[in-house]
Amino acid sequence: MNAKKRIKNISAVLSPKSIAVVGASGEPSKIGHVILRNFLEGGFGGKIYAINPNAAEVLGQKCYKSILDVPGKIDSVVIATPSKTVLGIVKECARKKVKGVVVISGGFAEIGNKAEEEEIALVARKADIALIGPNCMGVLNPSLRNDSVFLPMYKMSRPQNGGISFISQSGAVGGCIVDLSARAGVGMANFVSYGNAAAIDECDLLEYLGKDKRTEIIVIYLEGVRDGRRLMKVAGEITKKKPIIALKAGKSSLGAEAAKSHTGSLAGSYLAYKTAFLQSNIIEADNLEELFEFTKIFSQPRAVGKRIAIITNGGGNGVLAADSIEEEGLKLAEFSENTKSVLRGFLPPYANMRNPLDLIGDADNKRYEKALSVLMEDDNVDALVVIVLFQTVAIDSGVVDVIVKNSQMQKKPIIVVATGGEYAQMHRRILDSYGVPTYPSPNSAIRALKKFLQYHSRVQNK
Amino acid sequence: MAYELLSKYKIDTAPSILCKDEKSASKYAKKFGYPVVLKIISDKIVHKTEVGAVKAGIEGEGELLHAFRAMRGKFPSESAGGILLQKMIRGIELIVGGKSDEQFGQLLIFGLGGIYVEYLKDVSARVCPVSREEAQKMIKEIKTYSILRGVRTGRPVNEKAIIDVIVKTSSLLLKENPRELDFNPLIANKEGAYVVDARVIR
Repeated sequence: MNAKKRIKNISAVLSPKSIAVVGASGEPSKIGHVILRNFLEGGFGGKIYAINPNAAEVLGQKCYKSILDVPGKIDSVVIATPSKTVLGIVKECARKKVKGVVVISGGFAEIGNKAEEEEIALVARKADIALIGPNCMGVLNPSLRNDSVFLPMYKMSRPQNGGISFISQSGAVGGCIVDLSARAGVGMANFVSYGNAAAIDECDLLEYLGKDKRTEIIVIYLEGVRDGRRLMKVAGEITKKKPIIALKAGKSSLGAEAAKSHTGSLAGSYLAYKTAFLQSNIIEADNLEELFEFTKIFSQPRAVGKRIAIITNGGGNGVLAADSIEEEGLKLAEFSENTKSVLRGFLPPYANMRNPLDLIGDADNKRYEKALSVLMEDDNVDALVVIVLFQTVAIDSGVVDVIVKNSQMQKKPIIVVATGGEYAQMHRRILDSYGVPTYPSPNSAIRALKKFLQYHSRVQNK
Repeated sequence: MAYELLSKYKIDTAPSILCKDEKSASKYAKKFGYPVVLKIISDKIVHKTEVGAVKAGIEGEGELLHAFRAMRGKFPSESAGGILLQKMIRGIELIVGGKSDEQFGQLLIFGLGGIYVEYLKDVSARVCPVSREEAQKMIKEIKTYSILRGVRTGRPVNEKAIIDVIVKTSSLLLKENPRELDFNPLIANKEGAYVVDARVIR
């Protein structure tokens, strides 16, 4: 029994060379069918074994009666069978020296069957098996097409490979986020729906992902934690190197009504979470939208200060952004004399050389290009917010290219605001897929920027 | 019990004494100097002002004796051991509190205090232990920090004294591990910060 080894074995769950699906079924409505199909059709490159004592063949795969009948080694076993059978299968996994297990099956602690769940966890712990679940939705590693998520591919899109690892207590919320990430062009390193967390909990996963080289950013959806102090310790270490963005659900303070003191009524359990997040430099998102908005800004290079330049082709949007900058405690950059004189050289005579820089409604891609290149060089500017009203006559898709080029220099954070309908949305998706974070409103962009700058300044001050 | 903890952890309180009768109350009131406060000692009463268990701003002997008799009549059992006489401290009312959280252990809060504390909800918090640096940040994090800086009065409060109270309370919380704790109000002025009322729930 070795906790460190068990955590290390999470790699078998996420990056296996061989997998077995227990409960592989020929019946398309069965979860075991969907999972096997996802492995086969998703393009998993490793060995795939189907386990079903009552079938000879499923989806063209030979079926084994039990994992003990499989001739070769198995790194990870996915279990999608009725709850009563799970303990026996996990015991077989221990005998077979399997390192990783994903128990999809429900019917345990979530409906009160705590003892059965604890029995399973005990077997896993004894054999140092990294057991995910039970009652979970599976795991996903797009780089290897390792995909035990039991939602069909035509219903839930899979994200491309990337640097974000996302762990979720809730399978339902997790699935929605993965689906949205795929649509938004956000790349993922890993997704883990950890369910009841019987043997591997959120802290174990954080500890593993903190060391995982493919993981640059960690995103977590949680309703509760098993050990708050450990969360603070583990997360506090990770956030020195990688950001963690958390969405905490269950904020309404049950129990607060029973408080016997002023402090008791002020300090609900959510305040404790909020405080713990703050003290371990975890970035807290208030809702699903923010979870996305905060996460994607971390593709940007670190900024040295909080002096922000705003470029826009619509005056009003610039003013909205300036208001948000003030509200969030950031600063509008003062352009250098050199910047102003360069701007005077190409902007119409009636333009103002002030921040927010209004390139005027007739601004074309060229004007954006010139403005961006001078502001990228201005030492008074720490980060850029580029607002594009795609609705104007003069602007077209070429501006995407201009922004991406500047962004890929990785010199300063550049984020884009494009408010509008389908045309604007389409350009946002393209920008996002190039790693340029885009936002639907000045306010949401500045909020994300503030969290980003706050994270980095806390890392530096530690 | 709350007052014993305050002295054990050397947390400043308003000069006070438990007075068994009117005579000793009047004697100590003269010694402290008016105005003074009379207060029923009880860990059971949360909102003392509403039920008349506190009388503040007593300006002279006549008023003191009258208030003493009234409280004795209203709270015969709670006042059996005496009524607390306290020098009235002027300043800004703050709160320092603690709560044992199931997940994170002792949580310490700081904020604007007094009788409207639940409605102002202007608090900062830390999971204990709280260092001096963190205590300083806590003070600055509340929305009404400018009031402590003396925005209208021109008299900033003694922040160092507040930091002392926070840090000492943090070690109290970790060692005594109470379920809930209120130092409310903690009154801060130019000179220092003094706990004026305290409740501890084990």
